Amino acid sequence: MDGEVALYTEDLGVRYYIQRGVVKALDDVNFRLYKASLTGVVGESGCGKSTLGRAIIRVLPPNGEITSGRIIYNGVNIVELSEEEMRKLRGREIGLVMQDPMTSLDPLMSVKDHLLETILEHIEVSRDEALKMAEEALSSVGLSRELLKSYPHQLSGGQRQRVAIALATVLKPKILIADEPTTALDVIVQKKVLDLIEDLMRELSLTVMLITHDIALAAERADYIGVMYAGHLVEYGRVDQVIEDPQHPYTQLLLKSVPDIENISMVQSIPGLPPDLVNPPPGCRFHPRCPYKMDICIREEPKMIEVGEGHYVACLLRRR
Amino acid sequence: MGKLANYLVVRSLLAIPTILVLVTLVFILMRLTGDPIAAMVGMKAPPEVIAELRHKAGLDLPIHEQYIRYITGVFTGDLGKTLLYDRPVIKDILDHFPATLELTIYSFIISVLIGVFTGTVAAINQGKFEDVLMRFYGIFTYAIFIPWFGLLLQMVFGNWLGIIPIGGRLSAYISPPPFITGLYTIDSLLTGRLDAFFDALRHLIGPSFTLGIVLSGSYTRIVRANLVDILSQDFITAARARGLRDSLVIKHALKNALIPVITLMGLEFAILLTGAVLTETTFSWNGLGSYLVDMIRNSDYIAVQGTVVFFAIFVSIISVIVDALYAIIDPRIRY
Amino acid sequence: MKSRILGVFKMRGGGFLAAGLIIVITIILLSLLADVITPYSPIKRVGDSFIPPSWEHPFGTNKLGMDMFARIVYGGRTVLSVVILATILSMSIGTALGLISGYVGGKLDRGLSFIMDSIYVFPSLILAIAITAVLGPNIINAIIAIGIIYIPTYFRMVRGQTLQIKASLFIEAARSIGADSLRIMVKYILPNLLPTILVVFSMNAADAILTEAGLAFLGYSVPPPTPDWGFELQVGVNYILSGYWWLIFFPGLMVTLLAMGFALIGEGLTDILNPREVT
Ligand SMILES: Nc1ncnc2c1ncn2[C@@H]1O[C@H](COP(=O)(O)OP(=O)(O)OP(=O)(O)O)[C@@H](O)[C@H]1O
Ligand SMILES: [Mg+2]
Repeated sequence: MDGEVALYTEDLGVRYYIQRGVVKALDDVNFRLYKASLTGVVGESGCGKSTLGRAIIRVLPPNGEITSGRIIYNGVNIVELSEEEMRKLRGREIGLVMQDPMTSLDPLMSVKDHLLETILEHIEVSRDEALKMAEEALSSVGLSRELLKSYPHQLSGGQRQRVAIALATVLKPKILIADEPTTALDVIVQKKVLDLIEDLMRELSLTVMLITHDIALAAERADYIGVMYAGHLVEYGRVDQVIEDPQHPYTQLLLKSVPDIENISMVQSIPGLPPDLVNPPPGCRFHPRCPYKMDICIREEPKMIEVGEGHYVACLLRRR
Repeated sequence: MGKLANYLVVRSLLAIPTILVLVTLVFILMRLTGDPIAAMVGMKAPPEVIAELRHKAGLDLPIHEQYIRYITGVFTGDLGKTLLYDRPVIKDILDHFPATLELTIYSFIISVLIGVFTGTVAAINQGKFEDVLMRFYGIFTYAIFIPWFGLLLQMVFGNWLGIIPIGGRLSAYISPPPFITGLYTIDSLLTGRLDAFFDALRHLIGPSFTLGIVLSGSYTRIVRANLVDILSQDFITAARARGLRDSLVIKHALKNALIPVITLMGLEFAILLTGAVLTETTFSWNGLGSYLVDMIRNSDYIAVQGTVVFFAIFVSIISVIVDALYAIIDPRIRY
Repeated sequence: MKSRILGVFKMRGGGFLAAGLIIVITIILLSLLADVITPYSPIKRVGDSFIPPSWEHPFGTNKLGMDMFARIVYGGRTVLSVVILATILSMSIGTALGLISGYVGGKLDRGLSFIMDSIYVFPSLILAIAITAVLGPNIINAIIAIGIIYIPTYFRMVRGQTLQIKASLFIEAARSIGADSLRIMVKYILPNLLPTILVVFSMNAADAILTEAGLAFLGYSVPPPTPDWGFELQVGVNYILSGYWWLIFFPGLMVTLLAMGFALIGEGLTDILNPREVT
């Protein structure tokens, strides 16, 4: 049975404004995160995964804006919170870890200053207590306190990513958004960092949103999976539902594109490219690449429908 | 710290070749026409006078001997004696230098403050009206002709409104403070001469704002460019995502954006000195720039050569200081 | 840090470029057509001394009763010819040296670069003053002085670009079909440098104008009766207390406007030639 929902979005829409026009980066996204579980968000590059993660914590790039929909956390629509109220949630209730550990720390500040600054910004403790919290946070990500005095350039990629995770979790938030936290790391370190996130999840009963372009990785680690395509959430459900019984043609193709150890020659990449989001195709955004395209797909935009318990898909083929 | 000291020593030694090149260049330059004395004194002068001046300046020696004497002089602080008054050039230079230093320090501070402020405003309002306005400010100040701006200030604030003096370093009725550093504002504070302090400060307003505003445009531009770049970097997003206040996030960004500005300061310094020559002339500021201009008018070739050499060495020393600052501030630099 | 910016994101260089071109072309036309535009001679008394600006004399008259407007439009000829000849001088020498230095490399390159860098960090006006002082103050020497001090500006840029282009594949290809060095430099590398040279030229022209005006202000450009903006300003210094503002305001304004025109062109060209799209 499903647990409690920690956060959900309703018809979320995000736009980026560029010289060429308006990028429709997210449209009608209905997404949810269940408490103390790990939800993977997958899809090809440019389909809006990071945008969704950053919209939830409301740190979009300066030319981006949430233009419609709601994000409900603890019964409150956080889209309507003032900048100051939102700031208090960031880091304290919702943490973010970004893709590239090389660039996500301030090169001019030591690890200690990063941690202290974050702690002191949110809670009223003495410097000594804050320092103790900082040390605990470091040891909880498996780093020695010796590293407190280090500057980012003195750390390895894996160490930096651990520091970034320590920073995002030092205040024991409820939700952790990890945006491709391991893409820039080598395979062994990747696994360690993901194990670490799972450990923290259990320890702090964290709700984790793991953004990744690697559906195999999501299948292995996640409890729930959301599949995104061209700014739409096209499929969402428990990991077994989505992986074993994929309903959207795009999800099926994504799964086929996974290199299979027994059968490497079977790998097929999805033909074609994701569309330009300034002028997305009408109707279903996937229709130009869809092997099951019907006439109606060009005209009508599919809505999310429930095909199994908690298993949703946005495809006109599944409409009864 | 031992390593830092080491680095500084090495960096200072590296300045010597630069100084040598510049100083040699000045030497060649001064002999481009074959006979600087004739060029400066003019053809009308009687040959005996020219011959005597040539002898005094050592120009009758073979060229390599002249060069050796000259280089030895430069490195022992002997820049020769002025043709006109027979005073050691270095003494004249040291008399006039504090005035230039005082002017450049104040102008520098003003330009950096204005530049960082305007550049930051532009960057955090990227693409908006403020940004376009600040970009225009950068271009406009870059193009300002210093004497024009200085004279306008004198006319409006000095003559019409009467709130700043028209020129000079100190009013005639105020006696200069005792010589300690030669910077009036510092010496007067050190000796408790508040009257001299405020008077000197009032005299500094016109020239230092003229020079400061003209130079600020370069800082506006580079601060804006760096800050726009830094603000789009991951660690800024990460800092915001940790719930840091905007002011704190901007502080992070600014710190990083200002590091490359330090390098600019070295280059800007040359422009600062160029500007100082014009500013000093415009404001009857008795510094090294005015001295240089006077000596050229007097056709005092030895003094001109000495002053230009002094400027060359000064610029080289500044670039060493700038590099040292860089090394101290940025933890990424390994020395 | 505001998270919402609507509408057009960034101003394109087009506006800057257009504004700069309008300013520069207007000033060039004014000086070329000086004889047509003003009935007065720039070096003759045409009325009373110190007449404030009026319809008759839009920029007033000076102590000798000369029409300031005439002096300024004719003065433009002096300024423009000095600046254009000087920048052509530094551009050709700087580009040639930079091209050879970057292409040949080795000791020659290191030596030249070191010398150029040393000159580059030296205060340019002081160097220009020293050169004109030695050569003697006249218009030719002003051109030479300004020409020399800006050689490193072109040298540094051209050398850097040459190094980049040299590393690229098509130079290899040209070499393999047996093109000699001179041919490669002139036919293959030089054309690729032109856009950057254009940008450097317009920024440099702004610098050169200010330096020329500075030299003239200090009395090292053309001899007195010839009109020259910087020199007008030196004369104007004497009239601060008398309040003859037009003797100061207009000549200095022209220097600043012309320099700004070129700087605007440079800024616009930079935007257009390397457009950094905000993603
Ligand atoms: N600052 C921005 N300005 C304009 N468009 C943007 C901006 N950031 C992202 N986009 C566009 O929005 C869409 C979604 O981008 P997003 O970064 O969310 O994709 P993603 O799924 O995270 O891709 P990746 O796997 O490459 O990280 C893309 O088409 C992208 O080009
Ligand atoms: Mg992404």
